[in-house]
Amino acid sequence: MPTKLNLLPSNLQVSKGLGSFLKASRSLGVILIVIFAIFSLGIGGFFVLSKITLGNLQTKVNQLTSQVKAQETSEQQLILLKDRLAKIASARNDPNAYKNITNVDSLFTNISPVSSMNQANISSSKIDISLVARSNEDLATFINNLKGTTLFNTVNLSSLSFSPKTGYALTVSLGNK
Amino acid sequence: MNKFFDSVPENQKQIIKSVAPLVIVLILFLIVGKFGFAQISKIRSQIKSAEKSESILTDKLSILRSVAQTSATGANSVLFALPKSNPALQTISQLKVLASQNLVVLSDVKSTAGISSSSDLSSVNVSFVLTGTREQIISFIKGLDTIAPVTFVSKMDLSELAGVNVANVTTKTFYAPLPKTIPTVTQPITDLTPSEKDQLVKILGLTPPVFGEYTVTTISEVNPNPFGQ
Repeated sequence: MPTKLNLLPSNLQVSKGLGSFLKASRSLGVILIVIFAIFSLGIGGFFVLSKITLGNLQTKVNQLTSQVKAQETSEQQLILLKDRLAKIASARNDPNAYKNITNVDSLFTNISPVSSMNQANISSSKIDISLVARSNEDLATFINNLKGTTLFNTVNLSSLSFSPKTGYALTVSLGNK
Repeated sequence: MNKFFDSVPENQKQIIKSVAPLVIVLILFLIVGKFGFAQISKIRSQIKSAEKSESILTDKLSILRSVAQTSATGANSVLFALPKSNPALQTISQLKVLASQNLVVLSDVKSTAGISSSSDLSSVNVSFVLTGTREQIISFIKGLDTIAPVTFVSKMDLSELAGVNVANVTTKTFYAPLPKTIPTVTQPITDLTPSEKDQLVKILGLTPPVFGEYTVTTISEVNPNPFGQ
């Protein structure tokens, strides 16, 4: 029967357990080296692809930048437009008596020329009118115009007097909407 | 060194020979991983930034091309509507034209110095006397809404004597300095909003003064104030 001979010197021999450990660690080392190689290649490849993408994007951004710079005049004009339009909109919040002046004219509709408006003081917030109505009809027409208007918040008849020579003199204060 | 190595027991030599590559590979993993991920992270953020710039520039270019026509015609009109300096002379010129159109007599024209407000908007008051019929005077006042520069009526005192109407009118006309800067190339820009477009249509309908030509100066690369002299 053949006999197994171990000719390795005793001081060079390793134990069974240690031998298994050494075998396993060598295998693990090989696997780790392979994984490391794949990992490094992957990282390197991804880095190169990203660099190419970035380069292409930079080229496109540079092209767009030159095109935008070529539209400089349009940009200035647009900025100017927006600036002016914003300021004009802000200015329109300022008090303006224009509306009251054009509205007050409607109160004299159908009034005969013999009746006259003595005085009208018109601002953005208030209208004071002094009127001389020569006839009952003109007075009634004016009062009806006052009643019918929806353009003013408040209407105060400050005074009303009658003179046979001049007719009805009235003073009205109007507050606008 | 060799003597030291020779003195190490064989078991330990075998262990070192097997474990050392493992340790080296692990260290390399750490180094390459840390460095690699840092570089990739840096390049990804650069890509994100470039994509954002590309998007902004594409939108900006599209807007500038679409408003080129409107901006060109609108820029002069808005400068007539809201001049950069005291517009007293232009206003008085417009008042005279309105007076002749409405057959009223314009007299006693006075203007005050400009009044500045905190919102970068200044105004000048122009007062004058109108003589004519009430209808002519009202028509004149209505005409103020159709002229440039933008002019408001602060107050009107109207009196009638022997069939002749005399109105003391005070108007207010606005002006404002030009914008001093424009956004950088890579900053976004917005198109005109619908309300701005409506406002622009109204301003394009205003009658400009007979004098006072404005042109928008082109930007100089070294000039930080593109609208300046």
